[in-house]
Amino acid sequence: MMRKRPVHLKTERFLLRNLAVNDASERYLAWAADGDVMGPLNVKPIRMTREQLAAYISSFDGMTRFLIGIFARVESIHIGFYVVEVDSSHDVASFNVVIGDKEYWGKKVVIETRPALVDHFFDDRGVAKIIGLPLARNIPAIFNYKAEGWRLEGVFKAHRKSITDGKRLDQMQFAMLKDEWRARRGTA
Amino acid sequence: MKVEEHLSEARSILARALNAPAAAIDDHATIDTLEDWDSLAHMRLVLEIEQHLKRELSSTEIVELASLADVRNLLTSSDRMTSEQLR
Repeated sequence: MMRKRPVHLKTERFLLRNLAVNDASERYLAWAADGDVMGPLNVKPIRMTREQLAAYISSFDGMTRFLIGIFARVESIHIGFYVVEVDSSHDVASFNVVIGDKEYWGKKVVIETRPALVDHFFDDRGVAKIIGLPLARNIPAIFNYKAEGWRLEGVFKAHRKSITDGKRLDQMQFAMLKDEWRARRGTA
Repeated sequence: MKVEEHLSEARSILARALNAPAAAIDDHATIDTLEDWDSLAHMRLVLEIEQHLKRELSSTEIVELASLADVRNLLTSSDRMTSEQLR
């Protein structure tokens, strides 16, 4: 049974915590409007108001839908976020991540932070399986799943339509079971 | 092209993607052993290979790319496919 408990996790360089309405900053708004940031997700860049962004943040209930900010600890700045959705009937969670601050691209932010979130959802929230669904041309995302040892469950051929040119796009499903994760972390 | 030549070409491609000297990449280099092999380097690697092969990599080829040997195998199999097409 899911209870409303905040996520608050620290890694060596980053803090992960639930976003709140006062995190609706100009930085965050700029990411939503940036094609370089949103393009790999096949999401149209949009210009939102701060109020619209705050409403979006509020739409996450913190029980089955989580919007978790990534903050650089030294600079105390917001650099990206995870969206985690839990299907509580089956104890399956899906993870999505966006690194909005381009200064942090190629800095292994996901490789450092996602394991902490995976630990949290497996150990503290009763999740049995976690999946990620990157588009096949989202090369940095594919790299991160490979580098973390996620298992490719399949490729959905021509599963999405490109927002830019209408071309059909392949999508992949990577997965991690709790036992696989424990074996990988050496804590089985 | 011989296997050694494919390996040498693969090493050059990987070195360019990683902005690292080719000599720093040993025959057993993988995502796990090369510190400079990050997500942006991986994107550069895919683009470098596509430029070299003059075609877009398939989803399967992209997801199987995790070592110097994988890059070499890609060059070898593409070379073989081209040779067969020319026959």
